[in-house]
Amino acid sequence: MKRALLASSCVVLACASGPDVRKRADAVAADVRSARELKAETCAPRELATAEANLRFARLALDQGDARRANAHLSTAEPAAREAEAKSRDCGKTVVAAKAPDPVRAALTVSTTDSDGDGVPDVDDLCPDVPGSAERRGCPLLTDRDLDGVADDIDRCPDLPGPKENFGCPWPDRDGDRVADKDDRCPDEPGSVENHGCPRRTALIVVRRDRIELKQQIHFQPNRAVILSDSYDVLRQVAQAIKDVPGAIRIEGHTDNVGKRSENLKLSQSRAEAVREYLVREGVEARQLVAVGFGPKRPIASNSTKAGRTLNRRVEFRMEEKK
Amino acid sequence: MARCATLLVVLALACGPVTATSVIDDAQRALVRARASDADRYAAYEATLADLYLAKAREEQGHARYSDARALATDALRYAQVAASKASEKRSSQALGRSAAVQQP
Repeated sequence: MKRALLASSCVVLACASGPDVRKRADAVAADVRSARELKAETCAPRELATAEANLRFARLALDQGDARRANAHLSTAEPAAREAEAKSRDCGKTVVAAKAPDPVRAALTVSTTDSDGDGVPDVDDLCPDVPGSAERRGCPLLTDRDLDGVADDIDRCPDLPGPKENFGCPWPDRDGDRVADKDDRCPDEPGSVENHGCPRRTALIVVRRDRIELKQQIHFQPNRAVILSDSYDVLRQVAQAIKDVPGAIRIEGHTDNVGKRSENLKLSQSRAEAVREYLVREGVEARQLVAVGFGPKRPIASNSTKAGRTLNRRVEFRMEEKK
Repeated sequence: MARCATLLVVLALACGPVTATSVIDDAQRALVRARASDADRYAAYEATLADLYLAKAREEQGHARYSDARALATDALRYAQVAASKASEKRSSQALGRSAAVQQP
């Protein structure tokens, strides 16, 4: 019986405390509001935040039916709100004092703070955290040895002129072409400013409607299908041109008429294939290329002169006609 | 049919802890970022709110009140983000002000 009475009285008390806690929460909310009006967000941010958060937690606990927990949160929120209010009031006073009509009094109020202790009050100190002379308005005397406009104390390269965007250091330039790597399209090859730091490359090929014309012939080791390195540049350009062309390309190998016809035929075929392999290595699709050796069958000059024979030993690139 | 419905209910209930945990993790990360940009100094109000809300969100999650936990964590995340951006803004404006002051004779 006693137990039942005790339990019921507890329930009654708990129910009765709900509205009381809500009233208390409303009172704290009023304190928070007034603190906020006094600009507590600036003057006492932590206290205001603590008060607001705990007020919200208290209300949440009330919604969950936990008046005890709500009370505990309000016990944190209440003093925090009061402290926020008090601090903000003081904070407001300082502002008023600084704006007071009496200039001497205002100056005295403000001059009490001097964070860097350099004798220049913070209000007049352009560098309130760094000691400096009054002549320099509280800022230290800064040197700039490399005269790049970035003071030595923040210049990461105090002896080398450099832009302030790179902390006073010159922009890196790996190839030394006076075009900074950040603007250099070829940072490892020297080139002119006009060409964005890239070397000028002369065109070694001309792409025609039906063929790719070479301005420099492809050179091979004598009687072998090994391409000489001086032909790599032209072949690279050919590879690039083929990549830009949608259709198939026929690589034709030709020789002069010196030696056995069958051997020349075989050599021209091998050379055409060597070129094809090189182009595939350069990224051209293998199915786009056909290698054909014609031997001495299609001369373009007389084989009776040395100059003519030189012209006849050649590789040609022809666009395959679409069927 | 009944099995399907039961499964759906179970899945729906199971989403609570998952989403709450995910938002809490996001808020935690955002708060770490804010702290890294010195939010305690430059955006104390927002940083404190984010901190308290995050702690409360964890507490609510511990009591299996996932929707409350998620709501609090969402607010914590929002405040942490505001704190981070406010702090970085204030820091950069202060740095600019200082360098301008230094350049003046």
